[in-house]
Amino acid sequence: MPPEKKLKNVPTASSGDGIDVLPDGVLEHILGFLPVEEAGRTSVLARSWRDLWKYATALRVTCVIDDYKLYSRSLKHCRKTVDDMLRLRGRAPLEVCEITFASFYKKDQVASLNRWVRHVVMMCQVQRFRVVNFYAAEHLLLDNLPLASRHLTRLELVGLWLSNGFCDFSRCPSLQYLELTDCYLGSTERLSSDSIKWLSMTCCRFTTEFNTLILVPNVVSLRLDAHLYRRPILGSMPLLQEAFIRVPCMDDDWDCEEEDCYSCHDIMDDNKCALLNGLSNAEHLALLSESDTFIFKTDLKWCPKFIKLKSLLLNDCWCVAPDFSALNCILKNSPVLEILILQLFSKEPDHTVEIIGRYHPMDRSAVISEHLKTIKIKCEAVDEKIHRVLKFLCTFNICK
Amino acid sequence: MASAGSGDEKAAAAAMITLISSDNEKFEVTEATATLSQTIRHMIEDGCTDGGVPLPNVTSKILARVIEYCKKHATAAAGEEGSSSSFSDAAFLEVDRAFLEELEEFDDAFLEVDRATLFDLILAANYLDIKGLLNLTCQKVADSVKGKTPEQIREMYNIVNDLTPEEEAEIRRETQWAFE
Repeated sequence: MPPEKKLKNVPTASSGDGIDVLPDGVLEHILGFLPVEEAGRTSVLARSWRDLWKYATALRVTCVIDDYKLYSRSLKHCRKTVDDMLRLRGRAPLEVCEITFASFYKKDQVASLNRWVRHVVMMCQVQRFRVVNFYAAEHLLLDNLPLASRHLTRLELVGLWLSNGFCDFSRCPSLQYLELTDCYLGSTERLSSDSIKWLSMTCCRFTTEFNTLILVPNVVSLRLDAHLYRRPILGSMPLLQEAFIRVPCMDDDWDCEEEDCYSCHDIMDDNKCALLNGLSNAEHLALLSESDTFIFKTDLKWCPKFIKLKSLLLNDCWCVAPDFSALNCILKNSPVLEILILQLFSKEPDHTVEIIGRYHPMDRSAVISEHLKTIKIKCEAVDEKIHRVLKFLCTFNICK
Repeated sequence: MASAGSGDEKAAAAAMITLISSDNEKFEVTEATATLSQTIRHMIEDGCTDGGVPLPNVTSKILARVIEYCKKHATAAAGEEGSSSSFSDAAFLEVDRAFLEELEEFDDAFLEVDRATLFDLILAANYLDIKGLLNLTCQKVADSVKGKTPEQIREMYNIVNDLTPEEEAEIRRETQWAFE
């Protein structure tokens, strides 16, 4: 510290290099950005710091043992640490909590994690909560009980096994944002919440036994990316603004053994319009299928009218020659569409060619939206397959 | 941007707010910029911003920087709680991604200040209740103590250890898990 600088700062009360100019509330906020062990160590800095960490507005806990040889003993120790720490903090409220754990297999380990989750939600009234299973493939089963909290606004879960009771979020009336990644909804008949506005499910597995119902009537933004097994049935979402739906393609070296997995085998067990119906109020929609089989086929038989749809992103599974029936169908049912983007035979970062199309103003087609202003085709190269799509678009008077 | 500016300015001119620093300097800002501060948002809602908002705890030097932050972040504020994040790789939001990168660069440059200024920014963000700015600046302080021993932290931030050895030993026993 240059001494002259220190002198210069002495006169004003609010300016200084000493951290003691900051009020306790701010220091507690700062401590929340540290891993809990580091926050706990500040208790010996000085008398005024002794209890600050207990009131940190955020709690970041990691219980991951890297060393396999030490695994059993270290994990036990790690769990005790978290138990001790939670007991010391008591009910001090939390804005944010992040718990990361790995390799919790045994009954008592699973019980610990469930206890922490309940403690943080019910006792500490956490607002934004993230629970991460570090090795996401080994799902850990959360208790079959709903969470209850008036304070929880945001919940992010990674690598967990969620059962039916847990997926009832009606006792969390402030929950607005739910993000599930690599989760298994093995016995979940329905996931429901009247308060959720943003729902994102990435790489989640549903059951093969039945279609999970997703009832989130107040959602404005929905993302269902790379979900497997029985497809979910979406309930009505009158406020929906944007939705992103992507059905994955299985790796060649991993043969999906589930015969009922619709994303792999295109098996339709019912005649319901499971996905598209719920999306009919969207303004912005991305519908992508990476599978060879066209998974929206059954849905299209009952294709709803997308009365508010302004922008639409589709990929090549929608553009199948010779009749392009799928593309034809959705365009005809999108009366106010303004922007159409076709992502053809290439994935997101690889597009090198972008073709901008125009909808001929003088000679508009009667069957598709008169508001269509922008048509974009993104692809790697303009080859025969692309030419066929262009030719089809010409039948609507959409030209380069 | 430039062509859209004149229209925006016209619309915003009706809703300009005057902020007055502790050294009596006046700053005219749009309502969109000012309402990043929850404190000012509540004042606007209560209709008590006519004749300017006096901020006796904030100097003009710090207020100018706070406004710089708010201006940059005002446009991004709308979609903060998730709507943009859930669509990060949807093709229609390519523009937003570029904007988020720009914002990150701005934040990094914004934090290039001496410690006294950083603390003053924290105090201002706390007083004005600007969540993004408070998180940004507090994270910077937290990063600076990460991995440091208690002794190093005391030295860094002029903290005088007023604990007796007995007290310190007792605390270490209580929070044993933190020191292993």
